[in-house]
Amino acid sequence: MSDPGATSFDSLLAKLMCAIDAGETIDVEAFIHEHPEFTHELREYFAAEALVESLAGPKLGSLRDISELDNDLRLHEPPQDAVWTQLSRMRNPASVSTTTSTTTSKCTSETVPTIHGAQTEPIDEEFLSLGRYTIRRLLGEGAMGKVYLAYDNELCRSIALKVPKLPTRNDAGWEDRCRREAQAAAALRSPHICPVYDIARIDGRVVITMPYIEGESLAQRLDRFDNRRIPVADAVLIICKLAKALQIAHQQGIVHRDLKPSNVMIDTEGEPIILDFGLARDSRNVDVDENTLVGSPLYMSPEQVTGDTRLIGPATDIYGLGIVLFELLTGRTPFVGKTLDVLTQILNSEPVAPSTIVPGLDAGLEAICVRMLARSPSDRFDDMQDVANHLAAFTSTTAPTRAARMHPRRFRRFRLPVTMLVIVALSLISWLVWIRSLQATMQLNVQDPSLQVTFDERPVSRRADRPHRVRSGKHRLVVRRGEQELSSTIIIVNAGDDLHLKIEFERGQLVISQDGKPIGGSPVVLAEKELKRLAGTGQALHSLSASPSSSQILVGDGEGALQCWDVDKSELLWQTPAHHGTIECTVISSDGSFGLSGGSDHQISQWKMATGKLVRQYVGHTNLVADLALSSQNDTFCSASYDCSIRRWSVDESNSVGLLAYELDSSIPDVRSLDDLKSLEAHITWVRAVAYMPNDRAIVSGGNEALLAVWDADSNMMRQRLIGHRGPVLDVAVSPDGMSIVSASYDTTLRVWDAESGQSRLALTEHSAPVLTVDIDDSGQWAASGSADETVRVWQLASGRCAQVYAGHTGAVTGVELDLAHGRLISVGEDGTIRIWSCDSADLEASLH
Amino acid sequence: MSDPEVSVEQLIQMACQGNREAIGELLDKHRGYLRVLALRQLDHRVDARVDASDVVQQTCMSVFARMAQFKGFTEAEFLVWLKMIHQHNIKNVIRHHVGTKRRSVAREVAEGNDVVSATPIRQASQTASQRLMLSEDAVRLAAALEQLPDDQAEAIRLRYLEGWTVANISARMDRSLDSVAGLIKRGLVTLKKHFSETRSNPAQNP
Repeated sequence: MSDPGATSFDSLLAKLMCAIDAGETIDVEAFIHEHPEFTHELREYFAAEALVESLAGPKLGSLRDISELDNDLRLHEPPQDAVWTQLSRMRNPASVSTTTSTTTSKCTSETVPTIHGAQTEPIDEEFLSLGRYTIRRLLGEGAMGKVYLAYDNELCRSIALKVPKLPTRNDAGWEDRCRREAQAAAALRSPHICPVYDIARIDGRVVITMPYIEGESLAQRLDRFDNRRIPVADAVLIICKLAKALQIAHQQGIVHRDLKPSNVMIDTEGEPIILDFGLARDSRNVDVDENTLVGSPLYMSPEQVTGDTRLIGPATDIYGLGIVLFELLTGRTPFVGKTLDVLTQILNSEPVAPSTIVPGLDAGLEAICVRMLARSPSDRFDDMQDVANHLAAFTSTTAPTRAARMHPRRFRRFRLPVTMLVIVALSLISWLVWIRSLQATMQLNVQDPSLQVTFDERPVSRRADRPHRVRSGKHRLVVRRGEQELSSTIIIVNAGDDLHLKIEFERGQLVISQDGKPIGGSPVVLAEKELKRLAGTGQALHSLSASPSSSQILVGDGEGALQCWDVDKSELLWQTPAHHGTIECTVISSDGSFGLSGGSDHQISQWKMATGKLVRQYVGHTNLVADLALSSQNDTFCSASYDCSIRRWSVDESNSVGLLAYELDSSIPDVRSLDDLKSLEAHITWVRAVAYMPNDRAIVSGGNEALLAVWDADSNMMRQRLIGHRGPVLDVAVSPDGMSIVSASYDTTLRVWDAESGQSRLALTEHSAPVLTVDIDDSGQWAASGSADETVRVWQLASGRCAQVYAGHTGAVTGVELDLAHGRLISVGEDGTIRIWSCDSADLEASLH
Repeated sequence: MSDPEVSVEQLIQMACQGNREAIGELLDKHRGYLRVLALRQLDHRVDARVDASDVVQQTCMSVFARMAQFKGFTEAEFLVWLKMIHQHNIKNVIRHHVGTKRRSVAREVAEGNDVVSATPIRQASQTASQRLMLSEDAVRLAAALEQLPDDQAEAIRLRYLEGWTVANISARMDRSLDSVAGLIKRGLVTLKKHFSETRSNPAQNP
């Protein structure tokens, strides 16, 4: 294919490009050297290419993307609303990093990168959702597998999801070793080691979840500097911190084996964090695979090159860290060139002395670096602590003089304690900061001296100026006066919270408020209103529904068992295993003839109420079915699922007749602002609640992205978005007159919305933990809510005031049914009990005045 | 002729206030960017270039219509907003013209025997060497590309923005490897000149 217009220079370039495409690393200077007749053209070409590359910006696949992504993912805060914590946890929290791509310095300089990297093969994203995780994009790909940025729908945060590549050979123990390594890595605790959250098998794939670290990799940081060097003091400090972290790992028997600048992240605080710990290849997994070497040869130790597994150990990491130190000090790795050349040099040559690249580099520091790079493992330092100790001398501000080298011992005896103290203090502080972030503080302000307060059974000091340190999680706050227990409230504390609780009497009623918001106390808890209790299945109960007049109820538990009770007679009519997994939702037809159940096994089933027999199963959802709603005619129903969709069904057919979701083939849109939420056409994460409007003309749904949507039933288009909650919407109910929508949310509040305008009319804030369930009475005046704070509250919808609190459950309340016409309230909870309470509208009215 | 003194931020400010000329100029600066983004997703289609220009035009019209809704100030925020609108329009093109296999969004569809467990949901294939194109620099690069001869611009777009190998580019453009290399070389050199010139400022040392 010769082209008359092409010059011989073009041919040379074509060969160069093909070589790069094939994966070769090209040393630019060496290349120019080899073709002296084209020196000028080559320099011109490389400089132009460098400019275009830097303008084009980061690639989809490189880990460096993280810092660049941050700039775009900063939330566009709507002026009329406060910070959107739920959304901000979906994307990265507003990043502190303001250092954007340094444009001017890169473009004007004539420096040319010395190494050209290889370009990777096209990747097909095969999946978008993996169990509870939604994949957002590929962060990077390495020898051991791919790392994705994903969203954890359960905990509502971004994480890094690593999917290890399956071994090329038939390796029976691979998964076990993977697991054991992950377990060992999970046991490592250091602020400079990226922790492992979890290892799990989802859809047949082994995945490992880790925090998504914002910042830039060490490689990226080096590239920001013209000569790819960072100040000596910084370099030594980083290596010191890494050495100490590696010491911890080595003591646990973990060797990293893949240390390199792209495996070290510098977070927004400037701290180095090692990635891919203990998840690198197992030393028994063959590194050298027939013809191709796995991983970058530039950072490989001699024993890794030869594959001598007896020699691979902590010393291998010392070597790797030595290469990193070399690169931080000089801007390049000691060995460069084509793959085969590099490998040969690693085995046979001494590394070039750093001081030849950087004249004036301290000789003592150089000696340390060179010793770390000794070819024989036993010639290197004893362990990482040893390395850190030696480096410690160079983290002080005064540079060691020649005298230090001649009398190393004497000098160190003076300086070592001080610098060691500084380093120990620094790491201790960062350790403390890290530990501290798991905890929260609480301050209690109790006005009335006759009140005694206990927190988790322990008396609490009432002095407001003394904050207490509390662990995150669930706690019980009890207020007593003498013998009488006035109130018992569950308080849920999140890591990093700074709570201010105030307990006082207001108009004769006890009020407990958190940060100004009333959360408990008054009205005083009523345990004696319980009429009766039904036995349940012995397992935690997750769903409840009642027939009209609440004569019969369906109850589903965490093991998949479905019970049908006659409430008046307190009789169990039937019980049947219904789902593999939890039963998440149930609903009974308005004529009481059949019931529906939805479970974590993705299934929906129809049951004949009279007999408990399975009538039909409905197939279509691809993830947990969270909620069901029946139309008033009992001929169609809707289901909400964690597969981000809502499906419509005809009761008599097993296959769904409608789907309300984004196109399966298109990617989920990015949501970066309140405006983006307003323009969504479908839910973008788990749909957790669904209800019909009374005329069946519309459907209301609520999802994990903290919004509710109103859909037109004829066209299946989303016509309204109700935005205001700050956490996932867990349940929704519509008033019988269709004027109000009530939603229950993870943010511990309920909201009452005006159905016409879509505005939030009221926020009911008195629960102190996520509100899991809500039911509106047929009268339309009152609503009951159940919460993880173990109470049920009954509210007056017009005013938003809480009329009564029912306490007694010893676990979260997962289902409520309010039937004032029959004077009762039914609730089920994770404590496995079904409780029937007396609830009377006259009483409710009375307690409000 | 645009006044080089007016920054993008100023243009945005004027555009938000309804200055139609400012909106026009703002769009001109981003036209190349929009085209590159559209080509990336429409590339596989027969009349990719026509579709791409159509979509770019639609986005420009959308921006004109909705400029008042934009509440940001910086170019970065404008890019996010612009991308969102553009993405929406691109999806419309894909949705309306592609065949029956794809389901329509939020529309009742009679469904047959459906999938049972974990359906893999396909995403448009991406390559790890594709550029994210998130920054103002990428916008300027794309704008500069518009000024190159078509074949040079295409070769550079494929190599540096989409991350294609020369072999693939050669096949796509039906040119020899050497010829492709030549296109890239000439394009790169012109681009470099363009940026040195536009950056040259009497106040600075060149």
